[in-house]
Amino acid sequence: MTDISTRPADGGAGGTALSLKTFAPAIFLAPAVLLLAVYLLYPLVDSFRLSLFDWNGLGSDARFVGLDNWKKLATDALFWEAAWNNILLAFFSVLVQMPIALVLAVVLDNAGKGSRILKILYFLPLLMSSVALGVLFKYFYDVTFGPLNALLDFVGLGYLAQDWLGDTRFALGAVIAVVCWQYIPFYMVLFMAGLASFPADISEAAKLDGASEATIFWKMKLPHLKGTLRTAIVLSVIGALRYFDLIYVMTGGGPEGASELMATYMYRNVFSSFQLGYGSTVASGMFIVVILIASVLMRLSKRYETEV
Amino acid sequence: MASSPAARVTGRIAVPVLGLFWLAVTTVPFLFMVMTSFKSQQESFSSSVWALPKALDLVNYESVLEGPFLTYFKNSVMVVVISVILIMLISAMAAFAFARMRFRLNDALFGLIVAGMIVPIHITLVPIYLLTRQLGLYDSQFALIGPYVATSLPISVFILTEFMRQIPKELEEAARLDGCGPFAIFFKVFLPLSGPGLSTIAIYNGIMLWNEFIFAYVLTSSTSTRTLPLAIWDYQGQYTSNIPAILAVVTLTSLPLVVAYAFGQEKIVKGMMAGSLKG
Amino acid sequence: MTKITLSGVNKSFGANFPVIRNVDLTIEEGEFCVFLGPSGCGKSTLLRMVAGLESGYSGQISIGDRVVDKVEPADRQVAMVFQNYALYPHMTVYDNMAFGLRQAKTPKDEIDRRVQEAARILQIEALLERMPKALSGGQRQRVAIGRAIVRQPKVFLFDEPLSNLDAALRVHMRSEIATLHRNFPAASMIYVTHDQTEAMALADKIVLLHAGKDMLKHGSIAQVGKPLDLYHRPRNLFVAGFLGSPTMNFLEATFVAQEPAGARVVLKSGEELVVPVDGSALAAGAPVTLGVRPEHLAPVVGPAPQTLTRKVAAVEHFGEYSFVYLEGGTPAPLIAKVPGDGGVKASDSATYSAPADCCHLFDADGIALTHLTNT
Repeated sequence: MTDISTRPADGGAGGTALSLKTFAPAIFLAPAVLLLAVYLLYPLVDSFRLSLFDWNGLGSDARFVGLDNWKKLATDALFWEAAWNNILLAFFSVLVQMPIALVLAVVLDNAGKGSRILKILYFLPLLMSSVALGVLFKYFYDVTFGPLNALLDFVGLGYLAQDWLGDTRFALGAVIAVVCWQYIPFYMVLFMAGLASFPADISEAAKLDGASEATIFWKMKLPHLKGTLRTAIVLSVIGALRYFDLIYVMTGGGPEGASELMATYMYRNVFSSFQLGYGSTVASGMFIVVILIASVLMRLSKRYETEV
Repeated sequence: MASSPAARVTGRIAVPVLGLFWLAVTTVPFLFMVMTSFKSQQESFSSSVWALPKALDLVNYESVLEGPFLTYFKNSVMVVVISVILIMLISAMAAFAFARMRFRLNDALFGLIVAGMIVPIHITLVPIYLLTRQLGLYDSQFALIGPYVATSLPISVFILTEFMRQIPKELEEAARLDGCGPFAIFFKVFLPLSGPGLSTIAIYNGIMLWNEFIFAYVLTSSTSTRTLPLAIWDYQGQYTSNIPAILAVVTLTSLPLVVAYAFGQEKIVKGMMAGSLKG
Repeated sequence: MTKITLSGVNKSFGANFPVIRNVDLTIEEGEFCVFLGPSGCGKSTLLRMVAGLESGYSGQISIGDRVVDKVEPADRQVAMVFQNYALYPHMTVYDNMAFGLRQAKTPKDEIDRRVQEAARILQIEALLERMPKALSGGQRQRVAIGRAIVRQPKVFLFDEPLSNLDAALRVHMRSEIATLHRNFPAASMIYVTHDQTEAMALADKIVLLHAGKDMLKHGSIAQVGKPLDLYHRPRNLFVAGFLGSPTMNFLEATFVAQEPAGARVVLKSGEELVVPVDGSALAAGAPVTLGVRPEHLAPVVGPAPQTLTRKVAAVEHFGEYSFVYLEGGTPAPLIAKVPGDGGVKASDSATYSAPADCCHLFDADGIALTHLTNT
């Protein structure tokens, strides 16, 4: 009874069932892996391959140019302005969306019966396609027929009326406003979920200790939301770096590149100027920028997570 | 004692004021859209934008619906329904393998697929465009299904894997004792039990794909193959300065989701929030 | 012949974390065998090995004449009742019970006959069209048992089936399981529990398992035997301490000499007792442990042999009986379970006799010395 058998462990599966079991994971994963390989991994690699060519996309006159496209990208002021616009979009998205979403979450948290219906109505913009919103707001901002200028006029602020999308000073801001308008309710719902997860017995205990609602909010509920806030910021920044539809429809990147983003710049190179090679370089450059910023952001948010 | 009277009064005023203020911010653009869509082109030029339409004039809607609008609609329904069914099936299969099977590359492969969530789809655009042309799928509804399913898989696999990990191990074991192999366990036990997870990914992806623009824009070119988001784009080119007609198109394209929303707000809000798992 | 044999069974998680060691065990046809032990002793793992749900072990398991190590769970002619019932939540009670038979392509009318029969036995005919979530805990338990019955298995496996029920229901279901065993006399049953009451009430044979250092030293099995054998003749300190409630009193003692009536020992307190065991292997002065169950300590008045006299620390009254806590027990407090109110109160001095037949003696390794009467 004292010697321990050292026969290799082997029980349960066997016989014909063994082969089925061995291949079962492969069979279950095959469709997903195949589709991702064809429509995500291959294009990713192919984009980098195309970035080494000069090609108009027609026929077979693709010319290998090595890193020429990448050298061009490195000094392409238009690309870097577009990347800078992406960063501005990300920065102001966070700066505007987070506080307003948080205030609205607190408002709805205290709104009692009306909060459900308000939440449902607030959420409507998220159901709209970017194209629909782009077209709607193109007319909303219209210099002569647009309701925005009419509204300003009506309340006696007519002197503030602008050619919102046609003026290089305002175009990007006007677009950012629409992004915020659409996505604030999303982050609001996220924060509401965070607030709802705050344990009721803690706020009851705090009330018994004589803490005011305000103290409970600032000293307890807000710190409780830290994790949610971090998620919201990461989502908002990554979203802003990949923006395309809305801007493409509203301004096409104009005027004079004032609202150009990396994605719209890539699109113009490929499908308007037919520079597939250079367009792929822009796309690959965009991929690198997004991955870099995303990984820095996640690393940062992880670090804070461990500190808490 | 809990809060000072002043603070309570501020709260009592601030809550409804802020609540109604954002309601106005949300609804004003929609109001403009719907109101204008009922005006004639003439009326939209002559009267104030904020004036109510003189009559419930359906002329814009009639002219839009006389055109190929229903073709766009049918294409959207077809593409989205097929894509969502495939997404549910394929991601559930993968999720089952990740959640329930032990194989060497499990964690690595799962990490790789989930990482696919942060890839900007724009980098895939040119290669997929070229690939679609090579496959002879260019300018057909089927051109969209591959990219739609593939780009939806990472988040769907992630959500369903988390979901299936919650299903008790004993159910799988009971099924094995009842004579089920991996496929019977998947189709007869796990798939039926993943209903809530499947409905979340169906809602989330359904809405995302219903509104998808760039793949549809690049991979299709004719009216007969294009989807609803392209209807807005194409009508905008066709009607140029007829703002009321274009806004009628925008209203019509938004209507299906708004109607769906009216029936299941909570589920749709919850489904859309699945997007917060990204990153 | 559905004898179940486990021979040389070992299992480890990773390289050096053994969970099952050196299990050799035979369960006879029609026997009700209970795997009993503290949490972490591997009793459920052992059961799951028989079911075929646990892979990666060494050794051999046979059911009947067939070695089943490479046989799929469904082909082992076993049925299992899980701790949390594991009913398919998306199927009706009827479908839950019929599922396995349908998988096996049993004819429809045969399925119906068996399901109705099981439902009748378990008195759940009225629930057949319900969903599991509409059932109470006890009803779910019945359905889970019904799912096992319809398979007409040669072996029933129960994995802590009553632990999710409340106390009253547990006693009731316990007797139903005993009835089930009588109704299927040819089927062997293996029943896993950590509850010694269930084990004592149900088992033909108890397999008591232990964990940790004891397992490493002696293998997973602490003792195998009929319930009363384990109670009256525990093989070692672990078994003696595990069965019985309150637990057996252990007193440090020193061996004096072997006499015809048994081994004479002296306690730390100076009292001398003779225990009818064979201590001839011990040297005078060897440390031993004396064990005596609380229910075997009887109050005595006046001088008597084989007694312990202690100061009363506290008394707990339960009406029918009382626990008397005595000072000066080493290492744990000494408890006497006496009828009625015990007749003493705290800080009294009380004397209890420890009848020789009911005393146990363990050597320095914790192994029980053999009783003279049954050798």
